[in-house]
Amino acid sequence: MIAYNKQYLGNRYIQEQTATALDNNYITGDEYAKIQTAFPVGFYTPNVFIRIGLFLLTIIIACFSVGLLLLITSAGRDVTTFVFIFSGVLSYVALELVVNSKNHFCSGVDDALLWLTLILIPTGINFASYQISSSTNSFIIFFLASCFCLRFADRIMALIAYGAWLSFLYYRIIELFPSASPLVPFIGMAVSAVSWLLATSLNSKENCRHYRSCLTIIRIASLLSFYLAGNHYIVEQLNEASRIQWIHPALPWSWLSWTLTILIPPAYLYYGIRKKDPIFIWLGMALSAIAIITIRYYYHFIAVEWAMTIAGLLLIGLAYILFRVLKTPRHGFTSAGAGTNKASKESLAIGSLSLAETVAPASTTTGLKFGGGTSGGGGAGGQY
Amino acid sequence: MDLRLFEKLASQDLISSGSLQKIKAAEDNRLFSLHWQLITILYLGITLLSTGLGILVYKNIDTIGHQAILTFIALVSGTCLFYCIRKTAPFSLREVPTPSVFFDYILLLGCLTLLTFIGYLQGQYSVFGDSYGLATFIPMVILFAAAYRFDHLGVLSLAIVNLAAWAGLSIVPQRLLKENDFSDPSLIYTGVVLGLLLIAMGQLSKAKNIKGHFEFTYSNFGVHLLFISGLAGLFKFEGAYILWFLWLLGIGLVISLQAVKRKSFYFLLIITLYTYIALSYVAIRILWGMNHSELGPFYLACLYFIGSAIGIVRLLIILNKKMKAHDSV
Repeated sequence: MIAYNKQYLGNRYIQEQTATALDNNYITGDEYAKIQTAFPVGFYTPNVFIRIGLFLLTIIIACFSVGLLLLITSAGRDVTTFVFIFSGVLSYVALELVVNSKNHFCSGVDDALLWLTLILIPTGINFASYQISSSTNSFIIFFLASCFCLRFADRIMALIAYGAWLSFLYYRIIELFPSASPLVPFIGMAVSAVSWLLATSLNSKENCRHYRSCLTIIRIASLLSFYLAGNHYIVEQLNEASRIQWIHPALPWSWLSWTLTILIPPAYLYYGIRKKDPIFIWLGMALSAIAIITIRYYYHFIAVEWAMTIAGLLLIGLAYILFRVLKTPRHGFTSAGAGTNKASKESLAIGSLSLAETVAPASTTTGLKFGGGTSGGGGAGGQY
Repeated sequence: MDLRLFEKLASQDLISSGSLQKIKAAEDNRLFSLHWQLITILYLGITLLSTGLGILVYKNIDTIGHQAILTFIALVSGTCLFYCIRKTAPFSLREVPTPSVFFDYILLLGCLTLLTFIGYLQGQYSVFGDSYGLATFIPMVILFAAAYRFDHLGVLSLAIVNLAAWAGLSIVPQRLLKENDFSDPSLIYTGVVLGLLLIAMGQLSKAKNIKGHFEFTYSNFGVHLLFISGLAGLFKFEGAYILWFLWLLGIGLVISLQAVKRKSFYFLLIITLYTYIALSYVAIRILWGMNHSELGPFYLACLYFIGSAIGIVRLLIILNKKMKAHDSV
């Protein structure tokens, strides 16, 4: 089922694990070298920056090839349909070729061809007819993305397939039972819960080992969709979108959606800390922020700048306390990174740059641009 | 880590039993690290606080509250910098390990609030008079001093951004293209000179081993600035575009040779992309100039892009193979 050489995939896993062990000095360099020769990986996987370059260039080649085909065949809807579907099929054939004969794996070329196939074929189908419903479109994308996910164990395909599946269910329910739209949030939560259980149980199966990263993505996505399906803002928007004229559209469930909006993030956090599950901890943190933003959208207790200042002080204080408390490990938790000193330095350097962006507009308004050139110094502009 | 895998490796005599014991012991005592979660909270807090304070000052100008807010900002900045001076390791020309991650971010907060403070003083009281150059020059000096004293790449980036502001340029990534009016020729020349200067600073840091690890930050800003100014020159100076094209090719060649030698895939990629933009611009210009038939140039442009992109794919694959021996950034 999987297109990549399974032997290599297995060996790649062994090499990754032993590389971590080497980084932590659990095994010696000699042992690592011996394992590397015993379990060779024959994939063509270039450096990540080369991968980005190859990805962009493959997209450029494909776009202009499709453009050239359209120019040669000149307009006409049937022909356009044919060109798009033909290019999609061609790109898939090319993908099979680079994977099977050239052993490309995460090389940028295979990523780009996969994406192109997924974009070109549905585009072609939509050129064939203007009357394709949203639910049919969602189903086409779901079907293609799940096939690609099974064949290439690609994380993004897994994510797209899951999203398309939810979107298919939503549109199908609205089409078939318009009056059932208030139930959509509950159906969304039920589907998410089932998906999470399924992905979690498959994750521990030995014959799903090549799909672990895909299953992890589905686990994250389903936890996220579980929360979003119950989030007050989303519930209200979905209710309005389905155009059912209730006198008080969201009233019957609003206490429930508010409860879910506020309680799920701390529940995720609690579960994550109990089970030491990083996925739940990260989601709990991110969703707490979303919950606060949702509340602020409806109720303005204080002005935004005060909210930011106070929240900033609180978060810095919280981080300081936790750093201090966890300096010596407690209950199996530590604040120290596992050999991540270099990585955290790099992230700091990148992070400060985006901070420069947040502080610059704030200071512009005081009459001076820190990052700006129009009034800075060299007399670029004439504002003064 | 996968214990079963390592047991299998041990049974095949690929790792010694001592190594296996080490791994087992490590797995038993493994701690759950909240490192990145805490850093995220800290980073978010600093972003919110510095942005919030900036807006507060702006909104409260000319009210009674603004002096209180100003005092508060000075207090935050002062506390942060005082904490850093207390905790810092002694100065050295080499790389100094930071006392803690918390220290790094508090220094950043101190510098950011200091910038807001100085900007506010200038905007409201014109402390530096009408010499606006001075108002960016002083923060720049402070930032460079702090970057070298506390050995902080983030503050160094802020300092470089300020240096550019002093020269009249905006080089914060998001605004590099949006806010700079590159139709002004003097700005293009400033960009080229500053880019070269920053690259030279990087080389000098490395060669003299004065904070050698600052080299990447200097070179990174320098190379981007140099190429974007070069591209602006290419687009702007209609008459002399061939000269600008040759200039871009020249620096592209020199820097990419350096990148291959130093095995930097990152610089190789960005130089390839910038040079490709320049090449495509020139190719399109020439094609449009021909204008023989209606659609002729379109066909040729498509063929050019397909052919050139395939060529660059091959080039990248070959260079990757050459550099693969030792990976680095």
